[in-house]
Amino acid sequence: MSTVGAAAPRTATPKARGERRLSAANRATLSIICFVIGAVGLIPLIWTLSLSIRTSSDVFSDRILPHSFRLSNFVDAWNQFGLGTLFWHSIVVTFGTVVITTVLAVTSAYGFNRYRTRVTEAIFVVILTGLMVPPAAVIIPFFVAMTRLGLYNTLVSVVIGESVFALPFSLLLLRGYINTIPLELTDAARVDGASQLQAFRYVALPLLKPALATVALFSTISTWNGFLLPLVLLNNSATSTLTVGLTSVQSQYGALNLQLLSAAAVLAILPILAVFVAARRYYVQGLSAGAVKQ
Amino acid sequence: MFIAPATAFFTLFLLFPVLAVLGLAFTNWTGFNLSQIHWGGVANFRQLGSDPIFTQALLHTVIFVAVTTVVLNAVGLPIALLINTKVAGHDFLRIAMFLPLGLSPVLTAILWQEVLGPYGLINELVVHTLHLQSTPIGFLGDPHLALITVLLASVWQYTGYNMLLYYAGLQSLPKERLEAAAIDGAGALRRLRYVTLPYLRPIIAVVVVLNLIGGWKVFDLIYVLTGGGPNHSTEVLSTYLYQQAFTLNSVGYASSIAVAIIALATVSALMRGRLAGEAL
Repeated sequence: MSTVGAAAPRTATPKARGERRLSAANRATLSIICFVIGAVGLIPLIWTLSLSIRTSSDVFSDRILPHSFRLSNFVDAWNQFGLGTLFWHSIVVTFGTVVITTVLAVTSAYGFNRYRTRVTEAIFVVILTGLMVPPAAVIIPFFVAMTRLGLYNTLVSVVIGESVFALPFSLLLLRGYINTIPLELTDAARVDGASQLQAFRYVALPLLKPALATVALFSTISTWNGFLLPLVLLNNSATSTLTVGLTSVQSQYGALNLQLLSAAAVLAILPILAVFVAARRYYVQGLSAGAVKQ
Repeated sequence: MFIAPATAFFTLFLLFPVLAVLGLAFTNWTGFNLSQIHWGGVANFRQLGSDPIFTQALLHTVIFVAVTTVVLNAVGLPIALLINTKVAGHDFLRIAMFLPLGLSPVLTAILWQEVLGPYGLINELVVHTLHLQSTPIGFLGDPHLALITVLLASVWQYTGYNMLLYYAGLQSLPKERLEAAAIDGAGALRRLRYVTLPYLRPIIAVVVVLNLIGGWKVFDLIYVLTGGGPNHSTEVLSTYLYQQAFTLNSVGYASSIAVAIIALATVSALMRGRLAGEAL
């Protein structure tokens, strides 16, 4: 699965070769280009961080660099915008989605691998077409269905929606991974008298653990960052999930309390970037695997 | 047994909605009251043809997808090559490109609003530091600039995606080929032209299709950054659909916009099918 990702052994040899090819002047030029592009890329993050610690008058002065330092912006933003509720809703939705997506993806990936018939292959292909469907294209029937089921304005409806959109990619990743591990072991367990479910639970599942981490990471990021589903399915944007809540804050306070909006944005950015950076290895592997398999 | 739950879940909540929206596009449903669905034939599609805002939204969507795909590759591949030189600072650049990928499009929109707004960094520089202009530039308020601003924010967010895919591809580039070319006297540019790029060609094709598929899904960023405005200058199909369905309650008409989105996405899907040379 991770042929591309795994084939990145950072031995000293290629590095040394690379160094030999470039002259010192060229290397210095390229280094400068690296730092300049990187710095420009970080401007939006740094600017928002710099706004988040200013006083109101400093925000609307014509100074570029902050001349004030007000950490209580973060406390004010948290209290004034009800960030606690928004965070809690995002956590619940993300947790629910990760559980449902992972369970559905791992069981079906295993099933698709074990029972290969023309019908199951066709089903697999149909589910993969879900990768292509823009959420906006199906939001109307989905909204109607959730209303009819009495799930409108519940976090459950958002969990269902996020899960169904996260499922195809998770299945693709797991199916790719599952083909690389020796699942014949489950046949051996069957011969020894284990039930199908036992063979899956005690033989296959432990072997799939590394790929499950990747799947969980991808559905965490896509759900935490999801916007259209909570926007449509929850009726009060101020007590929705974090993404929708932030847009409500932005439209109400964005013009007058830029420092508080910035503080809220920084608070929203920190946890997801922490997860993202800590798990970047899994992310890169999943990205390569998905691209290669596709 | 193992396939059934996922299949049922998918059928119920994604396959069925796709089929339902295809049907709803042929109704003149307004509001969300189920008793008021009436068959409308192809009237919605006729209306799309004569709706100037739809034409604009379609045009902007195609521009958005085409420009982001071209720019992301034109910027992502050179950056991956630059990082692959492993010169000092390559790790810094990689992290700077990688971070925006973890953010939601909503946060990306908020960040760029703060940089480009009337009190943003760029306008502070232009108006107060450099005195180039006495009034702030309306990056989001000027109909001529808004689409460019939206494109810029999108490219900022996803350059790291292309960079990571190309960087991963470069790691599997057989070093012997580069060595052989170097021994034969090929300079860095010739090695790039005759060894690296031909090797990357299939990867470039896959990345381009992934960018197309991602591009058709755009909604969040534009909805938050401009709401499709000013005066529909950044309206794309998804924002127009949202407005028709959830603001104006023209559900049947909005469904026909959804059909247009699905049709465009299907074209990319077929391209990917041909690329992979198998079922998908």
